[in-house]
Amino acid sequence: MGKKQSKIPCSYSDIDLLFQTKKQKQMEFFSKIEGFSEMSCEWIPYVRDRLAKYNKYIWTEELTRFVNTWNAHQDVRSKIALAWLFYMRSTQPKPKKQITRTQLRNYIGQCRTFTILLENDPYMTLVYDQLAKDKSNALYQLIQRFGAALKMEFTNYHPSKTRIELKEEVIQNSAYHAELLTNYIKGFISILTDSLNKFYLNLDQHIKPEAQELIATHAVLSGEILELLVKTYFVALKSDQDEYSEHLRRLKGSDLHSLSLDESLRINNGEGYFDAIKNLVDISYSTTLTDILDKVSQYSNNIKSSIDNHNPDKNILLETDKFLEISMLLISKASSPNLPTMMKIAENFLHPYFKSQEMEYVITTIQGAVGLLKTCSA
Amino acid sequence: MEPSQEFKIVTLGEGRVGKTSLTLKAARGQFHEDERSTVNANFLQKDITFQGNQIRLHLWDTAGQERFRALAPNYYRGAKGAIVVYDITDKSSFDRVVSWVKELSMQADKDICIVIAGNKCDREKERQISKAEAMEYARKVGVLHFDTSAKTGMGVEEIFSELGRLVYEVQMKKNPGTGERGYKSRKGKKIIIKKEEEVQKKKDCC
Repeated sequence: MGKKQSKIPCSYSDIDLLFQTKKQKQMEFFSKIEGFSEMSCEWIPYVRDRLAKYNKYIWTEELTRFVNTWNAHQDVRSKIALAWLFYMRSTQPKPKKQITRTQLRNYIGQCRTFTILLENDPYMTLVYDQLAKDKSNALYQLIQRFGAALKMEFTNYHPSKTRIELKEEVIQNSAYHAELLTNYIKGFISILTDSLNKFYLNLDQHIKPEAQELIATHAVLSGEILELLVKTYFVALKSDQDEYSEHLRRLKGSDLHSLSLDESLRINNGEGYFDAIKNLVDISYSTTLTDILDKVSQYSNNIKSSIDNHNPDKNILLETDKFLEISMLLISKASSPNLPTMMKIAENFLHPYFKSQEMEYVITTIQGAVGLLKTCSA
Repeated sequence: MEPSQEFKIVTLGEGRVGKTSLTLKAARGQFHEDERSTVNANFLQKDITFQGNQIRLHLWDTAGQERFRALAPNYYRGAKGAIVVYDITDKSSFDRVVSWVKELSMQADKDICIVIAGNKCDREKERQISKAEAMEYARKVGVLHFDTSAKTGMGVEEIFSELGRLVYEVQMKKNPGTGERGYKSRKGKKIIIKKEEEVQKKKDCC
């Protein structure tokens, strides 16, 4: 019952043959590419060496086992990557989407974000897509293995379980484990960044080293790894989260009249900022770091747009005092469940490329507004 | 032209002393009353050129209201320069300058460059703080003092250029090898994990 025969009769040997033929064709194609035959597979021993330096940590065992299954002599993984770079170079790539700067700004906001960088740089897009989405890419697989290793160490892991359940010892000593997890992830990002230049030959010619680290950071912080990070941080920040939830409950339904905002900025007691409120809600359900930062950027942009739309003839100076008060009002309206946790992750993993930029400023302001909720009366 | 260095600068001071207007004037050359739409003045950028180097200053506005006072360290954390603003027509705002400078010296980055701006100089007749007194204080604490007016633009360009120059020189002295855009990779950072022996112990158990 419930099991249907496949419509296309196909044996395992047929599938093997299909893949062998495909591989043969790939090799024929790649052999025509300049630099193919000279290219060494030094990236595999390089990854092994880097992992060996971290061998006192449990997660490296799993990754080392995985990397040891790679055969350097028949490696086509990095050759595929080389072929992609060659293809990109020969076709004189243009940005991924032909969109205007204004359209992009409307979508992303005013801040410098990773998404904006991707939109403007096809090489970055290619490498990021391969690391974050291409299941056949060796580095993608390495990231997934790293995620699995973390799950083994921090959760009551079972393949049949879809929900992540933290181990009791992690919950009991959550601050320590949150710091440990942060360091593990940063360590792995460092290994991945260093390996990129070995995997994608001459990558430095196309992507600056700092951007390579940025790609690695955003590729790693997504999916299950981010989910585990959020869970661990949430437990570690329990007292902050509880306090925040308590203030949200206390202020529920209130229009926070204690704030010194006039109607031009209050905009129907915050209801006029529906896009910005939605951004705050969406932050809680983001599945990638890229997504979190995009929402933060959009939040700032949407506040300005709402004020502009509501006050077409006024000149309003949006200074930090007002931005903080508006944020307090919107946070109380959005009731985003884990905002302090998400902002802490954004702060801790904000790449130096965005430090001191508007992105960091908005994150600081949202965090400040969360902390100031306690000063509001209903 | 892409900037070769980028630095974070904060403006501090009591509410209504004109710190936001000052940064707006510096970054856009406009006084906010000239604007027709909403001006997002909490984060602005200003490019200056020094010795042929393009330097970008990221100007972070801070909240002036007393009830937001506790948030200030979050804003000046990592700043390489600070402009402490007071209103020359309001004596109490100058008194706050003293505490800001003290706080920055104690809690901000060790190498932070501080300058003081006596703003609203277009209202000279209402002055409550004599220039000599302000200059004497600045000299005593070893910082520069500028008379400014966000409305007329007096001293605005000078204060930002001078601060940019100071920050650039201090940072170049400190990190002569800093890469393009003042960026430093995480690669060189040591990853410190506390209670390493605990991790090792756990590993052995498994």
